[in-house]
Amino acid sequence: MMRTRRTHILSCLISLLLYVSPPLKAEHGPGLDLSFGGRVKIDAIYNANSVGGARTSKSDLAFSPTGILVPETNRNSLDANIRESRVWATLKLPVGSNSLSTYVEFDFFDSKKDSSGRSHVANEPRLRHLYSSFRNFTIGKTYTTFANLSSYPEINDANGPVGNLLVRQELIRYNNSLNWGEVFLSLEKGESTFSLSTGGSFQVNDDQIPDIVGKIKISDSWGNLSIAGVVREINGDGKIVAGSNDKQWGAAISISGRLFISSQNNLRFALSYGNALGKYASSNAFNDATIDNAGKINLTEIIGFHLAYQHWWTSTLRSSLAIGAAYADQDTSTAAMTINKMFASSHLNLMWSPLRKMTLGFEWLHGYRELENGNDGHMDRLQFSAIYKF
Amino acid sequence: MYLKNLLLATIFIATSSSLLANNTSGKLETGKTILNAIHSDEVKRIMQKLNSLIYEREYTELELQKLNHRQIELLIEEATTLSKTATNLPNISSLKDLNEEEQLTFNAMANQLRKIAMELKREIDSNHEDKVDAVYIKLESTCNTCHQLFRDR
Repeated sequence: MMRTRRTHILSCLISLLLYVSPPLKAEHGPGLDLSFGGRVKIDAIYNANSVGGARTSKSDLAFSPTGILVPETNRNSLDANIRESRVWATLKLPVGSNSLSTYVEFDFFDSKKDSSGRSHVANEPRLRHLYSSFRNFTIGKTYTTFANLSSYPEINDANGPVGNLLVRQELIRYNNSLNWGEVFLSLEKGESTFSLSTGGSFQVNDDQIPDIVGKIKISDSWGNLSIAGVVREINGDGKIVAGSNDKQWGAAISISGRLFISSQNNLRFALSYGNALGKYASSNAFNDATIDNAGKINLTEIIGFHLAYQHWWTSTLRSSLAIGAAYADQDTSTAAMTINKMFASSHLNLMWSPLRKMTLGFEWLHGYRELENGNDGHMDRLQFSAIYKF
Repeated sequence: MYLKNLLLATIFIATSSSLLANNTSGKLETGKTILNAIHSDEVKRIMQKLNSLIYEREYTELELQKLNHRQIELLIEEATTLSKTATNLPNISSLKDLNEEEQLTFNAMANQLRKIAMELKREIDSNHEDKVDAVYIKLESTCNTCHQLFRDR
């Protein structure tokens, strides 16, 4: 059964690679519309400070602030992968005068590996999105409402600059378009993360209350601007001391958007702050809270931002310069001094699209990580990417 | 869908009349006829937005379709302006320099432009995407014919 399914998926992919444009469409009855598409992305990455370990390590392939080694090893590496390739399918089903839309998207970033750690077995599909939309409601797994995708810079790296708010999680979202913009309200999967006094961390698997997220987005010819807020219950779930169930409410806000400066040149930004920002900011670079040996939790205040300027040299050639930083004010009396205190990153790239569906890009990335004890580490990376959309 | 949007945007860049409506002098600083001034900052902006959507990295395809649709709606507004202005084209002073036969031809082309723009609006409003493609081609053909006849005179 599994082999049959894989064979089917493979045959679909081969068909899709045969320069199919527009996307394949299959009619399955009156009004039912099924489409497939995706992109092939190949990355060649040179790391000046490899994290080492198994070849399946994601930190060498997609920028992870916590993956920056302290101290640095200066161990170089050159790698290539196709893991950020994606395939998607949409299904639209007419319901009355409206349409029920379902979307599913996979990339190949699953980190499964065998005992040898060979990279070829690590290219397993990973679910990125699976959701349905009907009228003003969206249900499923997709990017958090807290993020403004328009503020995300065009970069080669899969994860983005420090300060980004890209989290995909299960949610139920309501949105409404008004004359002056859009309003979003959602309940999203709660997932508390903690830093231990021993230096480790853990995630609670028995969160009880979903994250409550709201956002207002204003769009016009000058670009767009959004203000978002999230309220969360951070719940220790008695993991440290059985029976204790210390929990606290926290909140965070974010201002983000994209502003057109002249012609297509634009500025993209996000600024976020709060004591419930942990899992939302910078790929969970900081945890939501510290927890002491008695199970008492102390929320972590985090502030982060990213700022990116995109300049179009010609109609097909453009560059982005993106910088980002995040800082956490943590309770160091209960947490180990080896926990993270600050991260920063910068990206500079040149992108060229000789064909509308093809983009070639070369990017330099610098990352910085500082611990509470003052030790720090740097990382430099050069990344070439080729993308073809089908 | 994307190519379709680009085609539409290109057509409108060549035919939209926002500036035309604002500039009744009939001459540009270059001294060329007003038909050479047929472009619109708004249409240009819409086209650039449509153009940049394909480079977005994180939007899902469904979200991109929604964003594309929004831009098309804006283009429809431009098409409405276009159809209204097409009716007034023969009244523009510079076009009085045309001889009688040319004015008749121009009138016919302007009427044709208006009708197709309205047809385009109807089809897009009705979500008849399959028919919209055919209307685009008709609109492009009309625009090209008119430009060949009257541009760079």
